[in-house]
Amino acid sequence: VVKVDDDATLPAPGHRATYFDGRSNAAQPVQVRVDAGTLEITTDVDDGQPRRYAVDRVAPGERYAGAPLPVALPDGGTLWLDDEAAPVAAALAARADRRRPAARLSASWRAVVACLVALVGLVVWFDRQGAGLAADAALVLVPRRVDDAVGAVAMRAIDKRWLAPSTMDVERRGLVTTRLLALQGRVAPELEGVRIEFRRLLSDTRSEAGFNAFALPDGTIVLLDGLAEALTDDELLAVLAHELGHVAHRHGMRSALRGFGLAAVAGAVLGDFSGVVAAGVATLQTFHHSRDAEREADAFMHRAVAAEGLPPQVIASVWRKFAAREQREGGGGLPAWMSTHPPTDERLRAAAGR
Amino acid sequence: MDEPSAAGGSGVAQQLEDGPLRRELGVAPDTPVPPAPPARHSEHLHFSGRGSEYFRIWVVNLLLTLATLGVYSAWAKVRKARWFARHTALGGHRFDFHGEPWRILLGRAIAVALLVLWSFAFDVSAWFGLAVLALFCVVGPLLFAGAQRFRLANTSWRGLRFSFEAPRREVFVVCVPLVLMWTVGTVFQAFGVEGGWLVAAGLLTLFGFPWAHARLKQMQHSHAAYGNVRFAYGHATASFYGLYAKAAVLAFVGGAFAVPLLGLLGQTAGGGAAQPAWWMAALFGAVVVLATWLVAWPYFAARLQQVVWGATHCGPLRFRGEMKGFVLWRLVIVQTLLVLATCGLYWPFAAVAIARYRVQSIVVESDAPLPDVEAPAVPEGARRAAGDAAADFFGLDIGW
Repeated sequence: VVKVDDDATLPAPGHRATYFDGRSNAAQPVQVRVDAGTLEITTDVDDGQPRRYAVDRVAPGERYAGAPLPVALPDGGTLWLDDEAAPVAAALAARADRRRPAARLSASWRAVVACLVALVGLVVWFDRQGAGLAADAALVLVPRRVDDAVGAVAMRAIDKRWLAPSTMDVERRGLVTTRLLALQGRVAPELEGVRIEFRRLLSDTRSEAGFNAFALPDGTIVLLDGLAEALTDDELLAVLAHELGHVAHRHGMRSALRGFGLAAVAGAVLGDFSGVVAAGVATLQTFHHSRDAEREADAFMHRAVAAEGLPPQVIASVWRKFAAREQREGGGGLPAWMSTHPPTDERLRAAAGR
Repeated sequence: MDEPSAAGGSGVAQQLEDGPLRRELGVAPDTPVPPAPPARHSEHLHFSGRGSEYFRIWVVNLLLTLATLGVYSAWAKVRKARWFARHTALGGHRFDFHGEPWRILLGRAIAVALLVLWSFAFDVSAWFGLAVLALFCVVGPLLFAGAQRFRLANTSWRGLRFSFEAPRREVFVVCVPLVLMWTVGTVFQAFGVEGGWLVAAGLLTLFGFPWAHARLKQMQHSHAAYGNVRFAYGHATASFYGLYAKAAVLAFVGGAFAVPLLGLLGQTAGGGAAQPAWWMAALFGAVVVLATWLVAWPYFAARLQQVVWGATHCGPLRFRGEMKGFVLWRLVIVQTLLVLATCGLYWPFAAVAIARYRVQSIVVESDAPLPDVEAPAVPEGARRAAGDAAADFFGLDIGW
């Protein structure tokens, strides 16, 4: 009678797997099994002595469908478990997956759909409100000095490239300046550095020397001759009050900050696919915010015109002149979502409604 | 004056390529590759990932990235890289990726800081701009080599890691010209350089870039290793010029197709009214860029793979890129249309389809069957000596 030592003679009921020792790239076929918190690896070439590792010392990767699972061993070796060793892979990975919330989310379609809904919600909210709130929060941190520096740089660049000295009557310039500064003292006395620069559009082929006025972040308001020629002094004051609204609300810096945020989000979502598409989407969204900023400046203008004691018809008359010009020149027929300004009809209605 | 400077530029390129200047600079000479006998064994890389699985990873990655204001993006990148590596197989064995997210995060923070510094440098003053440029020339190459090292040292196959160790001098010789080409426009603008010099710089960049790109690929592929088996890289600079010339012609054709098409579109949309505002020009520009890219990029990517992998070998292994420009072109057009039609939701599926084609067209050739090709690991001591403190600091990932 031969006494049989169970452990020595009976082969461990293991699963076939592949083992690399980390010192050469030779693949070794092995048998693996998990027993009482211990991972046992039996090499065919060894004399049947299994290597043993505590299950909590080995590091299984994330499980992917249709790909074997690598398990990093503390001695630098790697075990690859495919379908044949699925029970071992499941036993090892179950522990590790508990520590990987992101992996657990992407493992279930229900969680992924919830994530997708949350993602769309987050992007839409960021576009509608979040970017604005973030910009407002960041605006407090940006000192006015930065606005001034940006405005000065922008003025130099625009002046060099687009503008020529104004040919407007000097006396009228003085009058307009005095009235605007008086108005500012009444409605926004806290603002510093507000000034008007008179220019005409360089080499403007059209008859008008720039039918526009714009504000820079440092408080500089640029009035172009074309607009000055077309409007009466009262109407001009209304337009300048609108530009003063942009300065008072720091729209220049705010839109820059919001632009950064929108570009970052568009880049994160779409940048992988195409930088051009991401930039395009971000730009369209900044237009939407630009229209909101214009409405804010319009409201400021309405308040200022009322404080000045001017009749509200002055504003309506400005918009009628804008509308007439748009009719003549074209360019007013942009779809609303592609425009940086609200439709003139809407502004006219707002002026008439007050 | 433009003509001679352009000729002079390629003359310098020629000298650097095989003249005494190369020895002077200590750049390793290209090892000529003897014409290889037809290999007896060839094995395609295999990609097993499915779009539906990547979609789930992508959605979760994106949500967490936005919710953490971008901080999670480093973890997202690791998950993505790991998923792609684990679904790529050679000879039945999978690759794996082991990068640590915090190194990616640090690399990104440094890259963003440098880019912000750069974009405002010349607004502060011209001399501050030059100082930042000097910083770029010192730090940029080290960061680039560090990123390369990070990527390879964290990629494994059959239990062994890849690695990348380029001599520091070569890193600078190869990367500094690229930094200068990238920045020359901004520098000239800041100093108000105009006319002939600007044209000369443009031409030098135009003709120098394929050379610089070829040098970069050479550096990347000739200082990589698998275990202790070094990769080697043959001559391919001339092919780079051909590649760039053909891609430029295709880009021109793409642009030429897009412009009349847009004119037609403008006619119908404008309805004969006066010319629309600047945004129309911006939109047209974007469409032209997209059309140009769609036509030229697939050819470029396919041919680049053929050129680069055709010149690469690793011990007894040789490589072949089998990507066809036309096939990739068709694939990219169809996938792009699907992405646009689904507001971007199809992107993960498209990314997987394109990755599958690109991965599966790489072929590894050897005389012995692949399982018999052996590679011992680098001895422990040598590995530690290579990773000095500076190397560790710059072993960051800056790529997106």
